[in-house]
Amino acid sequence: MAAPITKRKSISYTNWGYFFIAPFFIIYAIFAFIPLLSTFWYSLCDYYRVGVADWTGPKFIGLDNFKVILDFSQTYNLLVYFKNTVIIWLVGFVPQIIVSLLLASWFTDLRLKLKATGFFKVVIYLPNVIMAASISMLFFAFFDDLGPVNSMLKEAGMITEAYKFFNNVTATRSIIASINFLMWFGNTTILLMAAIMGVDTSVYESAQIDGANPAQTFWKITIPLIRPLLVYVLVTSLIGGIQMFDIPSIITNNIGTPNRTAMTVMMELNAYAGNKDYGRAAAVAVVLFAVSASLSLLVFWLGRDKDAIKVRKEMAKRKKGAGLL
Amino acid sequence: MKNFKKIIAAIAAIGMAGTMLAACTSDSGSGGGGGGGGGGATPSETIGFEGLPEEIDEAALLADGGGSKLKIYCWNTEFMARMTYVYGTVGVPGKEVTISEKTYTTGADEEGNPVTETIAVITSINGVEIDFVVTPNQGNAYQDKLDADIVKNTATDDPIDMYLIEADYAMKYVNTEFSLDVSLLGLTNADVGNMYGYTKDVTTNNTDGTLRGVSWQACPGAFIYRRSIAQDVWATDDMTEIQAKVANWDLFEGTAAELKEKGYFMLSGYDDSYRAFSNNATNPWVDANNTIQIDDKIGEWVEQTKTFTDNGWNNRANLWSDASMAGFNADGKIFGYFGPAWFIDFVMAGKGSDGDWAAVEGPASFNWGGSWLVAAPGTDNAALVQEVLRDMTCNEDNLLAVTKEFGEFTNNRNAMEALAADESYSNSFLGGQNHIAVLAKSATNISMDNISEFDQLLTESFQAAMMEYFNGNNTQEESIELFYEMVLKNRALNR
Repeated sequence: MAAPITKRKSISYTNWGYFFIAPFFIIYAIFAFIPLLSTFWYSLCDYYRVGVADWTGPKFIGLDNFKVILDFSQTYNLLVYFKNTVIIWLVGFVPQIIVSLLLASWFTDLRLKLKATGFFKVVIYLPNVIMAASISMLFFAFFDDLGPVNSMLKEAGMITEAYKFFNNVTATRSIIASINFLMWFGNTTILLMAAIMGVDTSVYESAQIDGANPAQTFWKITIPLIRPLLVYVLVTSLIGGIQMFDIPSIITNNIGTPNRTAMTVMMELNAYAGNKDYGRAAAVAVVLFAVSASLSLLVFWLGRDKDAIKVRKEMAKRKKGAGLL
Repeated sequence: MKNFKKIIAAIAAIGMAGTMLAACTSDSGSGGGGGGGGGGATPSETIGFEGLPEEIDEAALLADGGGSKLKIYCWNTEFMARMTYVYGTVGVPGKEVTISEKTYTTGADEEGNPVTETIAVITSINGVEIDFVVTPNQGNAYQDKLDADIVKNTATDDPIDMYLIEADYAMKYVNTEFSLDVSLLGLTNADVGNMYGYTKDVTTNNTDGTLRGVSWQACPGAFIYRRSIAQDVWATDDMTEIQAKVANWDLFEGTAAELKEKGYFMLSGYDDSYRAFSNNATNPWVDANNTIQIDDKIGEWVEQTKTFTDNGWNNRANLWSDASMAGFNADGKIFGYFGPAWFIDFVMAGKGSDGDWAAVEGPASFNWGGSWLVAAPGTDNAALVQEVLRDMTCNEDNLLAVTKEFGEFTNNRNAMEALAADESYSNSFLGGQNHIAVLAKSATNISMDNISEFDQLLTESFQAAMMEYFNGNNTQEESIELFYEMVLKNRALNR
């Protein structure tokens, strides 16, 4: 009779992973997650200061804060600011994604073999390195009544009196959108290039051998294969766009001139926080969160890979069928 | 194990999705200051001032507090320059001072870049270090800093000893326990007797009637016009003749039309004449219940400014903008500005048109601005604070010296009336005019009875909202709606 083989207990290292990532979660919980939950709580509270130190709350008041901030009967309301935000974001984002896709496909094109792509990559990324505040001030100075743009237009004889760019809705929104575009198209290009370079070059080569032209390879190969990253770019840009704050705030001196048409949701939130009304500021934050979350989910849903889902369903059906046999 | 992983993944996912929310609230979280930013721990009733005794004993207050530092909160270098001048150049008996060059950030230019000023500043009096803490006014930064620190003042080893305030928000401090009664510091009625009454009205506590702050300046305004433009249009720059052209608002408008024909602007922009109206309002911005009331005088300003804008009688510039400041250049096209004495030496002077201006009373007497010195409860240097208040605001000789050096209208009726009658005194920026005579006359008509603690917020928001109306972006009614939308975010205010 052979002695029973004692099963040697192996030492598991798997749990150590949790130990090593614990510091992040602890710090995250204290400095982000708990404040985050408190935002939801404060949005249901009266919590504000008047005077030097006269605090009220936090005192639970139910949904009253939401009733106030979602009162769309006023001329100037949160819905208007959501509309402003979306318009300004779209005006910047649409050209941004087109230009970025174009640049990314050129930079990675096997046949074009562009020279000095490294240099161009640095150049187009550079605006992103500058602080949004600085670049906004620069543009503000450019388009000022006494700024260089007005001087040039005057020199060229196109105008006689300074044109007030920041008193025109389209001009103000376009300037803000242009800054967003300028700051982010480089970043998007780099991301899309990484995605395109992840596609197996043999796919392109075989397509070319089969006689596909560049437009066909772009639409039939590149776009479908980089879809996950396109969705990622869209979602991050959407979240960033809905939280647009620093550029319009600086350009319009924090009040969304002209006539609140450049007032974004975050600026409204900041106006509540600036008046030390944390309850209503938190309520705006919660609404902002809900809108961003649902828009992001919508984008994920629209960007899902329908073919892959179809294949998966087919496989599941066949398996079921095989089992029945 | 599987569940644990799921939980971790879920937390991570929720957390990531919510990062943006955390970013939104970081602003609100940190803004609590000393008042109670901590989550949940904040009591719902008014937070009192920790450790302040109910009755402050004068003798104990003035006994040596042991402070080795006199900490003064301010928003620009104006007071610093005056204090340095009085102690350093004029000299105060029994005070040994040191002075050295220091650089302060005092604001931001129109592009938002920090503006720094390097000035020779007083650094100690009889061995006590003088520490000026300068926080620029922009974006309410000064009040935010002061609010956050003053509530902790009795509990810190390094308290604020003195701070400066402006009329637009003075009541926020003088009507609360965050300011000391100057009589506790030994300033008697005789000491402050020569000050202009309205400067004391601003800092008088509304419940006990005590005086909580004193100023070295009174800021009666004048209409300051450009002599060369007057010469060009009417072939005279005589002050009596020009005053006759602007003696009331109807004449003022007629004169504006004449200037327009010659290619000049009567005023620089929208807000230039605001104080000349608002300071003569019959009601304060808010009533006893903090309900906002828009005074008829403010309405007159709106009507007039709309007329001026539509007729091209002003240059459509915003107050403090580069475009407005361009009027002080050698080739400026702006005929006049409304401003007190500080506007002359602090804003207009040195831009290329010195000597080409003159001051007249204009269509209305008004006060604009002014800084008050307030002793902070919790000071550990009360005796020195008292001496600084005395030397800077009560001493007639020192104030006269400040006027002569800075052209400032100082807060001493005797000194100013004597100077007004003094034919040897002249201001070179105003082409040798004795502007104190004009300002002293204006000062007798000023009332500051109608200030409220919300003046800064309400004035700035009203001007910003009305600008949309002046620019033709919306109707007057819509601008009023916009104004309410802006200011009702302050929960103390009602419509």
